[in-house]
Amino acid sequence: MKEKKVIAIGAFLFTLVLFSCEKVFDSSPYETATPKDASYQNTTQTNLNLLAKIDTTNLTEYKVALLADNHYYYGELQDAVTAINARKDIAFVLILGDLADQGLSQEYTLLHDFMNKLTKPYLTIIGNHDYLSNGEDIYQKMFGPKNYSFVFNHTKFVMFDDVFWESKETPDFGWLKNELSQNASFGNTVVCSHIPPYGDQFTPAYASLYTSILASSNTTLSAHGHLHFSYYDDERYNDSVEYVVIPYTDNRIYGELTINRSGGITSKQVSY
Amino acid sequence: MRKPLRIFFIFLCSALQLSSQNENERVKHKWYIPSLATFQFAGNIGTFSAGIGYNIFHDYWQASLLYGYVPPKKGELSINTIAIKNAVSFCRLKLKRNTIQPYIGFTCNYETGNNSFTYLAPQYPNGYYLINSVHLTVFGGIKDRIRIGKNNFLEPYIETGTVDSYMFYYFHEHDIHLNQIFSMALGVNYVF
Repeated sequence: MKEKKVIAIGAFLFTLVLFSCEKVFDSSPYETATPKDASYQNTTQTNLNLLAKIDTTNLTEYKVALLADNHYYYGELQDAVTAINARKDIAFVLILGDLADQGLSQEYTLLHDFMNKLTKPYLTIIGNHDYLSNGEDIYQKMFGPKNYSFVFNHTKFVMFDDVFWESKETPDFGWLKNELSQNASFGNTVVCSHIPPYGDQFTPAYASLYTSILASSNTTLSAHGHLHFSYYDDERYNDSVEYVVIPYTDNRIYGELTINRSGGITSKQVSY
Repeated sequence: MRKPLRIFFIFLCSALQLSSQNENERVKHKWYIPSLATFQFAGNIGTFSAGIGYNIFHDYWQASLLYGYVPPKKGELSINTIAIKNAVSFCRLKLKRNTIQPYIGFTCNYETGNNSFTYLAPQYPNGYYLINSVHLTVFGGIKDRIRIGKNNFLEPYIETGTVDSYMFYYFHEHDIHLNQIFSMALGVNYVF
């Protein structure tokens, strides 16, 4: 009798845990497997498809929200999503790297779940923390290529992986130069990369290379994260490119770009 | 050897001797001979993990060393880990043919992957990252000891546990729930 009771209690507890865990069996925090649901794969392409559906016929001026370095600040990220959802004038969101803190699959999954509450498309770039552990593989699986570009309403957005120390490869400046080679056909060009050229991972030579590519191609704005504080500078390199750095999510600030279709971008910060 | 470390070492040796001397159910082993082999599925130390261990303090403390492996599936990386697993129990229920024993414990899990490190590479300034090659896990479980021979037992067990980082996120953010961070493990010990 006693034995049956113990077995019944054990079976009840087992069933309770089995059906309540989102992921019943977890192999390792380092694993590169992502949730089986297809919505967790190729998120970049999914959002580019959503972006393509936006009717831009009468959209002469629109806004883009910039977030950066959310790491594990999921509560602040959720508040940012709520604040941005309330803004009808924001067309989409760019996350400027460090989506994860230790590059763990579980961290990417949590971020993905929180960003699913966003009612607008969002695009990302990879940051140095996203490379940690086996994060590079997870990022590419869950989001997509580390370098890519897209055009929205006559503005070209170039998403550039400029992580040096954690990556096995040097950032592909040839790709960047090529992407910016036809800027004249767009109203504006925005380059997004995690680390600003005056950040810790850039040598003076690479910083000079980056800024010269942007300046020679008449890039309008270069947006970054990584530093965890905000920074705005349009005179540092004595060229026409504006450099903005968005603070980390814990500061409860997002960047806002106001983009004019025929040319011109203004940036500011919004607290939430 | 530092004094606290020496005391701990003597304590550990005494405990192992004690467990060997007072064990009346099984053949007495030399203190350094493992008293169990273990195989586990999942539980944050590998898809499959296997190792050896010791039952100490009349089987109320189980310490084991496991090698864990996550096989590469389509487009995924294989993962290799080494885990030290400790489980302590405070009670047991002896039934007619078996003994049921709940326990709690932790593992110290070591992995060397692409960007997992114990020491920072020279390009990083001091304090740029915390060590990320080691993760702790905590778990609670229940095992059922079944006699399969004169001196041999099988102990199937089931556990639920989580990882240190996930616990940190749970306590840091109220929007993360326990069912998002806990998962299960199944395993079996062969006690000899």
